This record gives sequence, C-alpha cells and structure tokens, in this order.
Amino acid sequence: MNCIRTDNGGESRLVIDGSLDALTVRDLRPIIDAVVADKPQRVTVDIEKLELIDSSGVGAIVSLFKRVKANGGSVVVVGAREQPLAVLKLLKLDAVLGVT
Amino acid sequence: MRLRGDGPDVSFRVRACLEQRSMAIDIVSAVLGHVRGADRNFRHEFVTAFGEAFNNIVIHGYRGRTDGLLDVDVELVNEGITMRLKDNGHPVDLDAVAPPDLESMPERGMGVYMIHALIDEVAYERGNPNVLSLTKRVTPESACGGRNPR
Repeated sequence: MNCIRTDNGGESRLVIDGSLDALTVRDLRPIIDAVVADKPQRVTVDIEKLELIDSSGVGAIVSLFKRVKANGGSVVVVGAREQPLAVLKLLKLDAVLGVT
Repeated sequence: MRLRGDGPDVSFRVRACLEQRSMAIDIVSAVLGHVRGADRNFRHEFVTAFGEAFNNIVIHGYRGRTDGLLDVDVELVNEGITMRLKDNGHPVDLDAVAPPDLESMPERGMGVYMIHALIDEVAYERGNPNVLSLTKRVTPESACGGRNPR
C-alpha cells in the first residue's frame, strides 16, 4: 500500500494504491491523523489504483470520514472499482462516502 | 473438478500472521482461477471473505501468539468451491458475533458480516484443529446485490 498526500488550500487529497488491509492500514493511520489534525474543509480519497481492501481498511476510511466531518469538513471517495467498490457497496458506504 | 473421491484438490499451509496475508490471498486467487464458471465477482467475493477469515484467525484465534499455523484445504467442484481453514488457536464462534449496525458506520466488527454476506455456506467446528468451512457456488447473482447475510 502506498498513500500520497497532496494539499491545495483547504483541501487534502489522498491517493491510495495496492492493498489496504489489516497489515498495511498501520501505515495509513498516521497519515489520516495528520490530515485530521490540519482540519481540512474537504478531503478526497482517490482509490482508483487500490486493488484490495478489507474491513480494517474500510474502518480507516470511515474513521477519516467521521473525524473530518466532526471538524466541519467533508470526505469523498473517488475512483472505486472492482473489489474495493464491491466492498463499499456491501457495507452500504458507497452513497454516504459519495463514491464515484 | 473433482478428480478423486476424497481428500482436497489443493492444500497449503501458511504462518498465521498478517505478514503472510498477501501471499495467502495470492494462492487463493490462483486457485479460484480454476473454479469452472467463476467470474470476476465470484473471485472478488471469495477473496474478500477469505481475507476476513484469515484476519480473524490471526488477530483473534492466535492473539498473543507468533507460532500459529493455518492449514487450508480446497475442494473444487463443478458448481463452486469449498475451502476449509484449520487452526489451533482460540475458537472464534462466528455465529456468536453480533451483526454490525451499518447505519452507524462502524469502524470495526464488519468481517464476520462480510463472510456471511459473501459465502453461501459457512460452518465452524471448534476443536483441535478449529475448522472454518466456506462454500461458495457459482450463480449468476452477485452477493453484493443484497443477499441477506444472516
């Protein structure tokens, strides 16, 4: 799993690829903590190149969503396809996360 | 396709640790390529369920241990696949796990729900070893379309 963060004003963008699972989520959580601490108005999570996600990975994205929202911001997930898209739909998160 | 009357078609053993998760999934993915009629959705769903089962065994079954092993037996049949995951850790009764309230957007506790949602038959026998059996049949429907998992 790789996660690249870029910032533009009050917006943060996270581009995640590879496999986001119970092992690799450990590397993502510090990045999420840093994003949340900066209190962005909007966060875009780009998972177009994410190949595999498990419930731990989903939990991390949900955590990001809740914490950013608690600070008055918003989170959207873009680029979901294949297995990650199926998992987000299964957990009824595609609509609330604005999955496109 | 079953070539013999008994015994698994494929067996493999991995160390039960998260560092081996990716390799185990690669093996399962390769096996799924031999399930007749299985499409991409079928493979995604089975891999997803296997990954959650693997997590449960490592994180809960073998909690606090680093010497755990996971043995996997696979039987391929014309209409699907049965996979048996065998471990010697603490028993994890999947039926005792309460389903998550998805409306509340939980951050954990979704794995067992996902297994039941994506697999046609889930059976668990505690013992030495504990055996989790996952059977999935090839059908035109995708589990992500709204199958009731429990």
